[in-house]
Amino acid sequence: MKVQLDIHKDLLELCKAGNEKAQFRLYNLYAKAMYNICFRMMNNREEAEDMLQEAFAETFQKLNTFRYESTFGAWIKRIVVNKCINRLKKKKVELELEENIHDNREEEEEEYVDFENIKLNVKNVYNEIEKLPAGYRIIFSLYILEGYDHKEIAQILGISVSTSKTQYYRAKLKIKEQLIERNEARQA
Amino acid sequence: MKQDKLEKFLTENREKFDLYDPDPELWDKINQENRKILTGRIKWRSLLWKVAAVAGIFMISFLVFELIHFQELKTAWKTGKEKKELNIPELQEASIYYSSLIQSQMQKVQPLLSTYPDLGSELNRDFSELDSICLELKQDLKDNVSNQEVIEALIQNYRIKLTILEDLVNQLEKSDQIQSKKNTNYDL
Repeated sequence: MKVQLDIHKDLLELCKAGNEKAQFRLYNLYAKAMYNICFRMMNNREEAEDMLQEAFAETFQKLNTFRYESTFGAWIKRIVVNKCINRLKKKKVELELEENIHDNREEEEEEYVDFENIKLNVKNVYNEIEKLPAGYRIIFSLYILEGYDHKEIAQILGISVSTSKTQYYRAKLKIKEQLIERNEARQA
Repeated sequence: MKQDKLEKFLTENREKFDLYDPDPELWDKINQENRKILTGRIKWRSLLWKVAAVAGIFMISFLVFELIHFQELKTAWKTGKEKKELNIPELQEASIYYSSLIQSQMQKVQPLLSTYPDLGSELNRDFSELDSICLELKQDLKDNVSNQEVIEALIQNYRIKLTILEDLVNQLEKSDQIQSKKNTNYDL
């Protein structure tokens, strides 16, 4: 665990000391992954780049506060996600995260969505994720692609755990629906 | 929790979902931002140092001024006290009067004491004690300048010195006369 935590420790220490070459190396290690998180959150190339720029600037600015209590990847990912959420809130993007409609949907977390007869490939699935409403898309991405659990998502977005679970389930149903439509359109 | 087909597909192909690369020029923007922040910090630090230096100089000047002012006050207070002491005419007159008498008696007693060294030591002890009492009384006078009892005690102190000397001179002169009579008788 310690080795994993300290894998980039030397590099990080150089970055903390203000070494530009080290900062560039660190940027190259994480830029693509972080950019794709931004893209999935913002659903827009320009905004994703803005978010990446702001997130890295903040990362280097706050790097001295990083104490290796988590992996650097988890730390920077949280900065990126928070940046995007704050920007979306500023833009007043409707995240469709109403709490009252999900009260009786606790059990949906366990519900299995049957994709057995649906052909899946990266491009098609990615396209359907992009088409999801903002709230569904963000929770779906945070859970299945970024690896946050529903408790963490609830904390990040300021919603209840059950809302996060319900939104995730609904996102899967929506993707399935869209994939079926796509297949049908192609067959027709 | 059992994963459905979509979840399995996403987990197994997670890396393929990072489809996009950030603009290669983005690093330059981040780096510029970093430099701006760093320059800002340096400027801010330099400003803080300047403020601290000015505050330090101000504090030192203030302390030096206060010290000088305090010394002046102390000197003024001391001289004021001394002036006050000198301004007691009754004490001034007594001091001059008794000092001259004491001086005169001292001149008489000194040659007579050469034959009685023990008496000389005793006289010195008594005078030392009276001097220390005199100093204490003068201190009391500084604290309470108008105290008539203290002034009288000081004058009394002079009188005791004078009386001791007068008695001593009388006794020594008598003793001297007896001795010279004895010597004359022997000659005869």
